[in-house]
Amino acid sequence: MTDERASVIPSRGPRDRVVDHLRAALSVGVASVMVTGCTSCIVSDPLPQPSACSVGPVSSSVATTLKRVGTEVTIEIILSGRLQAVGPVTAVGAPITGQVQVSPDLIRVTVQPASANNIELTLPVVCAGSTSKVGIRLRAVTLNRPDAGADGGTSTDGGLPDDYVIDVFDK
Amino acid sequence: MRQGWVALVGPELEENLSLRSLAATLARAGIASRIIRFDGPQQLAGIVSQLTNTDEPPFLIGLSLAFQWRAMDLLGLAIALKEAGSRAHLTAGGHFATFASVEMLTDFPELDSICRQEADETIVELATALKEGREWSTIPGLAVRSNGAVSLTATRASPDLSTLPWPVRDPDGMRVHGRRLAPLVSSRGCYANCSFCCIAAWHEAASPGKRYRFRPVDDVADEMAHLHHDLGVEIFVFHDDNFFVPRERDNLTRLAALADALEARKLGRYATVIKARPMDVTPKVFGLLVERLHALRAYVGIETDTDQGLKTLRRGLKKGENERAMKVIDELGLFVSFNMLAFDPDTTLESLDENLEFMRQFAHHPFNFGRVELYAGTPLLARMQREGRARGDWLMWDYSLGDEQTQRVFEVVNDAFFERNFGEDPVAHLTMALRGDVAMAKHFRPELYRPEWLTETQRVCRMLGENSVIQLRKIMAGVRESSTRSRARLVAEVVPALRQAEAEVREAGRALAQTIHETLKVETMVSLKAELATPLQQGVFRDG
Repeated sequence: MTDERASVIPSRGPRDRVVDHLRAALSVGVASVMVTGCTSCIVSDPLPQPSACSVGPVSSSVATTLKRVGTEVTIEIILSGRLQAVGPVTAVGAPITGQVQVSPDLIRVTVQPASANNIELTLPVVCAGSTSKVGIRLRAVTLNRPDAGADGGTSTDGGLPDDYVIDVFDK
Repeated sequence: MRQGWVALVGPELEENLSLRSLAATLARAGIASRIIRFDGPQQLAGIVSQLTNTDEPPFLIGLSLAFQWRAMDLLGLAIALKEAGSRAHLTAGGHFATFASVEMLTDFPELDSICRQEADETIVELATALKEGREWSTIPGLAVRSNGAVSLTATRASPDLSTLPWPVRDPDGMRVHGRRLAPLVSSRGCYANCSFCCIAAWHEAASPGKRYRFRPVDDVADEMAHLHHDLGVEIFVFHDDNFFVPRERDNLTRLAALADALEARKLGRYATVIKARPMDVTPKVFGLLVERLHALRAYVGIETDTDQGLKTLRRGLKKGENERAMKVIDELGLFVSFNMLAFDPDTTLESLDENLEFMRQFAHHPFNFGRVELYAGTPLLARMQREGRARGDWLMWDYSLGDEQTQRVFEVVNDAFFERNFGEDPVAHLTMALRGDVAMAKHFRPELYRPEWLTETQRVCRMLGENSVIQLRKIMAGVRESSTRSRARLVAEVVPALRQAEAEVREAGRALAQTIHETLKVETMVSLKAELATPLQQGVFRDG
């Protein structure tokens, strides 16, 4: 019997995954495992955690919120379950003007779009020792507003979109 | 002949007995070695520098790959060392390296060899051959690469434990409540044959038919006396694969002999920590352990309490054995904790509920729960591979439970309970630490100990354990009610209650730990855990 239910089967081989892990460890320091010392070594028989972020796409453990203030767009990225960020967010389509890891499971990123293009953020994450990337796409939405003036609402004020729809996906 | 030294790299959250045993056999052969502590990937760059940016780099580096979950770190280190120009012979050993030796040498050319099974003698022969510039690739007990393929040299029989030197000790050692502890073993191997464990296969491969071996009682007593009198050790943590044999009479004879030997060596106040299977727990054996070997704590491998789970995990127990064992321990007032492998490949909602009932019944003890994993060398992995249900590769196997509804429950539980059971500072460990603080106080400072501390600890444990059971049952009900309700929604329905209970448990646990601290004037295990947050945990990148 072949199990066909949804899961994250490593798409890269063992060596590739180890190399990814190594690069992450050497570049920013992996926060997933800390040196705890023997704080409770006579009382703790650690139960091994489940082997993988195995229960669905990694992106299913990521939630987002979006807020616009003036021309800036702030995205809050909320990590749940076993996911941890292991590096800064990068962006295509708009420059990042601010980035703060508020807490281990909350990252706030501000971008300043200059056009109505889509914006794509990439966040490197680690789950159960496996590094991967989560993509967050801000799809530009232009409303067909009746009061939009000469262009009939088909373009945006100041060249910016009226809104964004967010897609979160595994990269 | 070159002099030089051997680097033995691996985790040292407590003294790593594997590496320290190898260091001892190397020292006896006149070969210098150093233990290089590697507890997490943030240490990786420093270790590479330590082993390469030096006038006298090691000629042999041994990587401790006992734990599969640390393989990414250790194999990453192998790559980094070679990239940094290390010319040392790189070998690895331990359970995972042994069972995955062919795949590991195939995928990681940085490794020159793997020391299979117990490497006490293999590492010495390998180091000696390298030092003397002799051929090493035919040494028994190795996996080697030759002509592009991986081959295994002759299997080496397990060493006679009475001939091995005692592990090299860290002069600073670990302390709990200011008292030094030392891990040690009195045996190697286990009589049981659990499907999720590779210990039976490990020992069967090296010494067929001889599943466990004991050190002579006098040798164990001599080592304990040395640790106690010379290094001030007061707590002996036995890390035997299994501290016991199948027959009560034999256990009584051996433990009484050890107690006699320790009394003859005039050990003062001390405590022992042991691990047991439920069938090992009898009033006579554990009475002797408490009375004469001053047992402070027992870890009892419960794992599962359903007929289905006992069969899948090949526990070799009948239902009822777990409950009987726990009641014996309750009668003795011994500190016990246990883990439940609540999810296994054959778990159903009915068998899961049976395990929850056991957890509820014994929620006054600290416990944790999770899913059985597929580790290299285990019968369970072999079964799941045969059935086409093991996903992934040798570095990490995964699977889905056979019952679709139970798999859905597991998926929700894995997300919702991760912080509680496996996070950076899991509250499940806080209850263990708290119970440990109370046991330490009762054992070593009876004049200051207050019985209400135990009552409060049991209340705190019950708060957490019963909350786990209630929320698990809520998840099960949600899955039963609707096949379309999303995982995220099911998680969201239980998370507030989980986090609230955890906050209450933390608050109550820390309050009691503070009382113990103020009374005993010691740093409690609970407080140590709370103070460990590092910049890495708190987020390392800021604006920009």
